[in-house]
Amino acid sequence: MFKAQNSSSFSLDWINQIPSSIVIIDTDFKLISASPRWQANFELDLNDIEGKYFLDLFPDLSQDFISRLKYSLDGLRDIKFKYNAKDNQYSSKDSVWHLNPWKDGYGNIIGVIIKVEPISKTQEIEIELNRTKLILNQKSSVAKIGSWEFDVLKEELNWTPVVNKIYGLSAKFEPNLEDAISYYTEESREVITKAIFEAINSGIPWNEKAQLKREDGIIIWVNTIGRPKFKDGKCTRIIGTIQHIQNETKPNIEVKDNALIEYPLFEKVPFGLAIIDFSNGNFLDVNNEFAKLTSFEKEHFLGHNFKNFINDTVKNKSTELIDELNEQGCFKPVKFTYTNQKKHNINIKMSGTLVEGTSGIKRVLCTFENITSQTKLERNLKNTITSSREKNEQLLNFAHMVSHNLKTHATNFSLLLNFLNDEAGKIQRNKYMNMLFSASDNLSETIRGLREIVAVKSSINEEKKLLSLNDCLFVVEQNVAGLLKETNGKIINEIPETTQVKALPAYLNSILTNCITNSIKYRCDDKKPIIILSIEENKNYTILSVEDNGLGIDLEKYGNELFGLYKTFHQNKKSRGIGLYITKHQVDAMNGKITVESKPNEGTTFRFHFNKK
Amino acid sequence: MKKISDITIIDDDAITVFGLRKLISTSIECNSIESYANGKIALDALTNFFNNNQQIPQIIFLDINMPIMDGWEFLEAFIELPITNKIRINIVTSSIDPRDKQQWEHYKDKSHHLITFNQKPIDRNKITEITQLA
Repeated sequence: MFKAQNSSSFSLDWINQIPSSIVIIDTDFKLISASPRWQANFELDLNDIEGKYFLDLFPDLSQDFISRLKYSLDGLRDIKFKYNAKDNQYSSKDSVWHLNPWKDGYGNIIGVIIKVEPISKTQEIEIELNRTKLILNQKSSVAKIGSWEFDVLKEELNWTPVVNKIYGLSAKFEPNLEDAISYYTEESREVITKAIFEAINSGIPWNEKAQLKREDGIIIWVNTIGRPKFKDGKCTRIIGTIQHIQNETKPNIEVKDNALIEYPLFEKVPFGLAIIDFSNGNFLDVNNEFAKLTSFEKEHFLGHNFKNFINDTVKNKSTELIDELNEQGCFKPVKFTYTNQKKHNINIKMSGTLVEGTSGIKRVLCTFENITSQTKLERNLKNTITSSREKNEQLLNFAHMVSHNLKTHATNFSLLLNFLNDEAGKIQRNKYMNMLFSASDNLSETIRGLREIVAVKSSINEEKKLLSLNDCLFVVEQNVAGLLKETNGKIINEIPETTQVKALPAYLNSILTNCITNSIKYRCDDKKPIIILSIEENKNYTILSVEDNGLGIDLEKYGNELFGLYKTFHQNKKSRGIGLYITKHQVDAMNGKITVESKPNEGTTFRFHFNKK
Repeated sequence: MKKISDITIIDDDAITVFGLRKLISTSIECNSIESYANGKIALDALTNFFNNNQQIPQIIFLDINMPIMDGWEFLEAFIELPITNKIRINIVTSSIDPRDKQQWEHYKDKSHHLITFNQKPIDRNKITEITQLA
């Protein structure tokens, strides 16, 4: 009865304000309450499931889970459990369940709080790691926890040698109840005596922090837990543990008591919590998780204005948030980056609710979740989506292009064949035959162009090599020698012998050949083509300039289309509109850049930026 | 059928031009059929006609993919010419890219000329249908 009163004396209403997915169950594993998010996650309505046996709702949960629940009831904090959605009828998502003991205002464990978080791959690995750690921790803490048993009827006390160590007694010392109690300090002695009395007479278990004066005179804090066992309505035995605790000190807990009574889950939830005075924005209290997140001591925040700890982006938003709090009583989750004391940047998701305490003072309860790993995954996913969308677009463009090109030739063939079929005259028929031949040549030419484009797209995965630019240029010069001689052209090479660029050999050859042939192809009729090659260097790029005295191009008019497929700008039978398109793709594929300067009838300068990386 | 005075074909593919010429001349009566190999040459010629108060062709067959000035650039410039007569412009293409159809709708709504969108192949019936005066 006492327990029941205790649990109902908390207002559990505030679970409705928690933005996280949380369910609370009692020591008999009956469902007490669940946050709206949890209900949504598992498509369950609190009205239907309140008071139900939790394991009936999730019948497929393993024995593993049940033993974790029991650990949690024994006081172990933040036990993680991986929930596999596919084994269970509710919720389609795998998640991580954080189990924490639920305590009443007197520190009695009266149930388990389970927080459900979505799972990510990184977390999965983390859990594996933590499981190993947990086992190790259990081993080490088992060494520190002493257990004891008191036979009420025989008034016999037995304990393990660890208890002797905690008391600072020799291993031979055999205890009795009176001795055991007498080592507590006066204040604690009262507490323990009362606890034992209540355990025997009312069946109430205890979980107390008490001060023990060891045999050697040193005063230490211990955590003592006792559970009465009944037989035929009478308490026959009490079993329990005693553990030396160093880090937790009683006074600290007393200071926090006010907050604890109002927010019983404050220190128990596995995410950062902060209570901020709504009137002035000062931190009233933060929990241990919050301190862990920021890697600062709690004192770093208490009494200081929250604005001192957030970056400008959130600061600028704070008026908005205050408006939201005033209007709706809460604000939507805000994501921001926080640099903690270790100078690590972490991504935080913050949400907040306005709560009115018993005293009528308005406070903001803020939750802080570390979403760094989620954010990273999200970013990777976004990048992947963007790049696959681009690829898709390119493919579609390519499909349109191919079908357009082939259809043009197909219709030409059918047109000519129809004419040929209707025509009896030999001269006319010959004319159609000649046209058919030229149509077939055109088709071959188109297919050759498409093959070149496909070749560029498919060799992107090859590795770049450090190449001597002049060696490569020498090969290209041999290839265009005939063309140069025919047009009386000249190549002036100002590239230093030592210049090297990082490039794919085939691409570099293709780029140089294409650029030089273009310079010759689009020469001014009245001038001999002159091509000047030179090099500039900057931090990231080796820049090859190819300058000619050719026809040039009106960049204001055609600048946007210069590298487009099938874009031609001069009346020249040899123009296909493929060369610069391919060049651009090749340069892009090597993480380079192309810039162009040109004046009609004066010449063009292409600058190829070869990335040094 | 009312006699068409002038027809212009703007296309860079010699075989298509030949085919269209043959189809048109054997299907309907008309004074003359002119052809231009890209939008630029055609626009220069038509602007010249307009400035000299010469007859603007009543029907234009227009290809989209052409060098130097493509079909859309030609249309953009052509509908800016203050021609009061309603000209029929038949776009003839083998493109299946939906963006080309969107472009056509854009120009169709922008101009008082009759602009139609036709996918190859064009047969004799189609030619008769789209060679009516606008």
